[in-house]
Amino acid sequence: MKHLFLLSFFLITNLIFSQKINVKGSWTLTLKASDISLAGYDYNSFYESSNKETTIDIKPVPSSKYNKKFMRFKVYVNKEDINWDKDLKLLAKVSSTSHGNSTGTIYQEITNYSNSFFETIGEQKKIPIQYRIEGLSVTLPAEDYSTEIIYTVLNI
Amino acid sequence: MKILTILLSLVVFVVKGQSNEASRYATFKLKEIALLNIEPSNTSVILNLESPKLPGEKMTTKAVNNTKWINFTSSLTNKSSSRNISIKIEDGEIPPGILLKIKTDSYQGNGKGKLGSNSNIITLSKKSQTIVSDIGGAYTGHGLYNGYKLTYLLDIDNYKLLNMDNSETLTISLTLTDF
Repeated sequence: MKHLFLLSFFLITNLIFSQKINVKGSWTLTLKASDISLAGYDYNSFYESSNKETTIDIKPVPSSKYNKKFMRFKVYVNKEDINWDKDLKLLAKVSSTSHGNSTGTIYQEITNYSNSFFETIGEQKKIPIQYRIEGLSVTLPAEDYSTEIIYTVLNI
Repeated sequence: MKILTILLSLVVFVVKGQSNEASRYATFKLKEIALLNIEPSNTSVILNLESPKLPGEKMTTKAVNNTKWINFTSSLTNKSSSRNISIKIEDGEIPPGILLKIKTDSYQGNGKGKLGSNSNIITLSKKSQTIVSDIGGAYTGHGLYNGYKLTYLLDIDNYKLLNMDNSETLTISLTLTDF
């Protein structure tokens, strides 16, 4: 009984001091004959999205003045493939350093396992994310390749 | 016990109330592609028959720029069959007594993928003939020494029909087609 009480208290404490994430913007890239510079060549070795293809909002819960300013967060990223090829490599970076972050500004691969992406502090709006895809080739079957990019935020 | 129930209800409430995970999608749409190029592209093949130096000897062929390289990029869906490269005389007539042949060497270069396989020497005509078959998703590399090397050859079929003052210009077409 005592243990159950403590466990519940621990869970509540952790969850009350929680956070909320909101993500906007998916990346779609279409490659066709006009993307090949000359017959005999493959596609480019990589393509990049716009520097704010996805934006992330992070909101502390409860949304007190203190939390909005000082609560620290860590964002994790992973992907769940819908139709993917092992030769494709998807990378992401935070294309800004003005969102309470000093990490995540160098491209890192998004894998099927959750990896630490960046850390930030306080409430943040429109953290810009840029993507890069490597491995697209005419040697792959011509079809749609798609993956779901999952962002998870935890307070630290 | 009552307190525990309240606490557990609070946990459920808090869990339901927060969303610390969100997702978006990345999608890459690759379209079918069929691009073909001949290198060098700015030179004509010139083939001349020259008289023998001594009576009784065979006539000789003098060729200028008689080699070309086929470069291609091909992208196919899984449902598509493979592609071929075919060749034919589009315009013009071969002078009487002469055969125009083409030799296709096996692939070489910096390309990758299902690059197909070459045919043997064929005699060109106005009928389309396959010189490279079974091409899938592939790229040959661009420029000279990438792809399939073509060599144009003249062969005398019938000496009686030869007219040494004759000259003809032919247009040869190559097509990358779905099989």
